[in-house]
Amino acid sequence: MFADDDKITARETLFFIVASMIEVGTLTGAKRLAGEVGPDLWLAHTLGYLFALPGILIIVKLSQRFPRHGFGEYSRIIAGPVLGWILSAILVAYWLFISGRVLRSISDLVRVTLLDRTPFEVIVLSYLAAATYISWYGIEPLARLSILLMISVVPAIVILFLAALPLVRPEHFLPFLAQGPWPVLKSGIKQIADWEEMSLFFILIPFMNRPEKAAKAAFFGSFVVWVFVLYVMSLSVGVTGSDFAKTLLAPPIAALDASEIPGAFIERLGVTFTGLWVAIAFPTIASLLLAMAVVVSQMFGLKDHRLLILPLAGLTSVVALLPLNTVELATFFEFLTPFGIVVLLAIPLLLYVTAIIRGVKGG
Amino acid sequence: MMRAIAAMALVVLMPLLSGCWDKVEIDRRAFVLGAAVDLAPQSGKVESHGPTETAGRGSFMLTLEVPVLRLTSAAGGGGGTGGGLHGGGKPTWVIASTGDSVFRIVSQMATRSNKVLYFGHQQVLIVGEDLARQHDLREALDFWVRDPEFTWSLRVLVAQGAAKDILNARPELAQSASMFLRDQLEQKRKTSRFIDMNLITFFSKLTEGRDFLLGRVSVSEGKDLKVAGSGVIKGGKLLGWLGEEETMAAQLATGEAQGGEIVIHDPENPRTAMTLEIDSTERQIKADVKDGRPSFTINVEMKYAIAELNGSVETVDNEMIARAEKAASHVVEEMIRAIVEKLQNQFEADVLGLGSYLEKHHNREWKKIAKNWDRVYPNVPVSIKVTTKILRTGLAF
Repeated sequence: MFADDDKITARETLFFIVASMIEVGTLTGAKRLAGEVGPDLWLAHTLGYLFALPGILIIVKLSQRFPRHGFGEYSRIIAGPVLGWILSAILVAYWLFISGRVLRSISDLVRVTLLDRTPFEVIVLSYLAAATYISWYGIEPLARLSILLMISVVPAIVILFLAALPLVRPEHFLPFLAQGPWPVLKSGIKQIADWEEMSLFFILIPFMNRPEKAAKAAFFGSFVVWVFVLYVMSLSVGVTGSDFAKTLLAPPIAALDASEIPGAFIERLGVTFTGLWVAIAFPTIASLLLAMAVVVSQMFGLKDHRLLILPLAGLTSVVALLPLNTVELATFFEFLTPFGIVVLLAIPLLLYVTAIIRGVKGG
Repeated sequence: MMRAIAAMALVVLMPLLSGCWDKVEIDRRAFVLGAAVDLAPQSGKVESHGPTETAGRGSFMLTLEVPVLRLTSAAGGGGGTGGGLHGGGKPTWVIASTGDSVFRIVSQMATRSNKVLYFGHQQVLIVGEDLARQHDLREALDFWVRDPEFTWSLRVLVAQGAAKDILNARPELAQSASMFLRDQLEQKRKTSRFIDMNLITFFSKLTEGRDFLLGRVSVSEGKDLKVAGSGVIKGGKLLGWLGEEETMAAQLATGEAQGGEIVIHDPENPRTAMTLEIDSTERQIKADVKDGRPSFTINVEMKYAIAELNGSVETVDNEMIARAEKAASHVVEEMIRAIVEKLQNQFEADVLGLGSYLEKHHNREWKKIAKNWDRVYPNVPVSIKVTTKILRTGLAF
C-alpha cells in the first residue's frame, strides 16, 4: 500500500494537509470570530476561505513550476540568491511562530481542562517530543499518522457534535449583518491568515509522487477543513450564543460539555472532545517542524534536514513560552494575521508573476 | 551502541511514565452533587447539618451536598436503614461555610474534608432568594464559568427562601436532595409548571442581558421539595415570582412547553371536562413597527392528545373535537394574555423575548428603540392567536 521512498500520493497529501490545518485554532477561533462579527461568524469563516483559496492555488501553481525544488531553492531561482534567501527566512520565521502559537495554545488548553496539576513545561515538552519523533522519520510516516487520525478522530468529533444539535438555538445566528457588510468583509480578509498551514504546499510538491495532482489535493483538503470548521464553530455558537462565546476560552468545549446523550456511557462529552483534539494537534506541530527543517536545509545547502529538527523544536518551545499569560497569548500572536496574509497571498503572487514574466521553470 | 542507549533510556523512563501528576483515585474524591449559594448571614453563624466555618469577610455562604458512599450503598441495598451522618436517614454530607469568594470557601472546605472535593459530577446549582434579589447573578456566580471542573449541563434553580435549606431537605424518594432535583427536572415532558435550565443557557442569557425565567424550588417541613413556578430575572437579578400556571402560560407563549395539560369544558355540555395533554407547542412572533412604535402578534400552534374525558362520556366525533379545539384555543389565549399583561405591567420584564425578536428580525428598527426598550416595552400592544389541533384520542375512541 505504501512505498517506502519518502514520497506521498495525492490522497496522502490531502490527509496530511487536512491534519495539519485542523488544530487548536478551530477551538479558540470561535471565540475570536464571535468577538469580531458576532452571529455572522459562519459568513466570515466562509469569506475567509473564499479569499484564501486563490492564494492557496497560487502557492500550488508556483511550486508546481519547480517540481524538484522546495521553496528554499526556487525562491532563489526566481528572485535571486539574496532576496530568495530572505524570503525563505521569512517563511521559516512564519512557521516558527505558527508552531509556537499552536504548541502554546494546545498546551494551555490541556493544562486548564485536563491536566491542571501537570507542570506546564512537561505538557509542552511531551508535545514537542512526540512531534519531533514523527517528523524525524520524514513525510511518509507523518502522512500515515495523518490518515490514521483523520479517519478516526474527525468522524468521532463530528458524531460527538451531533449531541449538541438539540441545544442549538437558531436565533443565535441572528441578526444577520447587523453592523453592515464591512465588519464581516474585514474579518473575512483577516481569516485568510487562518489558512496558515496551507503554506506547507511551498515544500510539499517534491515529496509528491504525482505533483500534477497537488492542486486537487489542496482544493479538496481546504474544502474539507472549511466544512469541518464551519460545522464545529456554528454548532458551538448555536449553543452558547455569540455574546457568551466571546467570553469563553474555547466555546466548542463548553457547547459539547452542555450536551447530553441520554443513556450514553460517556457523561462528560467536553472532556472526551478535548482528549480527541489533543491528538490532532500533533500532526500540525510535526509538519511545521519538518517544513522548517526542509527550507532551512535548502537555505544553507545541507544534504540532510533531519539534524535541524531538534534545534527547531527547541526554538519552537522558546516561542511557545514567550507569552506570559492567557491574555498576552491572545495579543502576542496578533502580528501573525498581517504576516499570514503576506505569506499566503503577497509572496506567492509576486513570485508567481515574476516567474511567469521571467519565464523561469524548474527541471 | 545507540540501540543499547535507547533501550536503557526506555527502561529508566518506564517508572516515570506509569503515572500522572493529576491522578486522584476515585475513592479519594468527594463528589459534590449539589451546591447552594446564599448571602452570608449577618450574624456570622450558619445553621447546617455539617461543619461550618468562615473564610474571609463573608459575602457568600456556600452549601455543598456530598454523598457518603458507604452509607449510600447501605441505604440503597438495605432499604435505607443505614441512616445518614447526622441521623436524618440521608446518606449525604451537607457542609456549609461563608467567605468573600466561592473559590475561597471551597478552599476552606478542603480543610474539613479528607477527600478531594470534586465538582465534575455536580447536578444542581441553587441560588438563594436574597442573593438573587441583591446581586447580579453573572457576577456572583463567576466561579461556575471559570472553573473547568464543572459540567455545563448541570441545572440551575432559584430557591424560594434560603438555598441551603433545599440541600438540607430530606426527600422521601431520593437519597439526596440534589439527585431528587435532577431527577425531578426530567419530568418536563409531563408538565410545564417549572423551568428546566442548564448552566450554559443560564449564563448565555445573563451575558446577553436578557430577561428570563429561572426554575423555582421550595421546601416544606424541611422534607418535601417542590420544583414549580419560576423566578423572574431582569438585569441579572431576581425581581419576583410566577406561579405554576403562570410559568406554564409563559412557556406556552415562548413555545418551550414540552408537556403538561389543560382542562376544558364542552360549551354544549358543561358537565363534560376534557383533559388535553400537550403534544407540542410552536410559537411564532410577528412584529410591526410603525413610526417607531412596535406591536407584536404571538401565534401559538398547539397539538394535543385527549388524556381524559370526564362527565358524560360519549363517543368522540369530529364535531366534538372541533368544539374542543376552539375551547382549548380560547383557554390558552386567555392564559397567555394574562401572563403578558402581568409581565408588562407588574414586572416590566421581557421574558417572552419580544425585544430579542425585534433585535434579531428588525434590527434597523431595534437600534432606534433599544435604549428606550425598558420604557417602551410595558406599553407595546401584543395580540395573541392560538390554533389548536387535537391529534389523538388515547386508547379510547
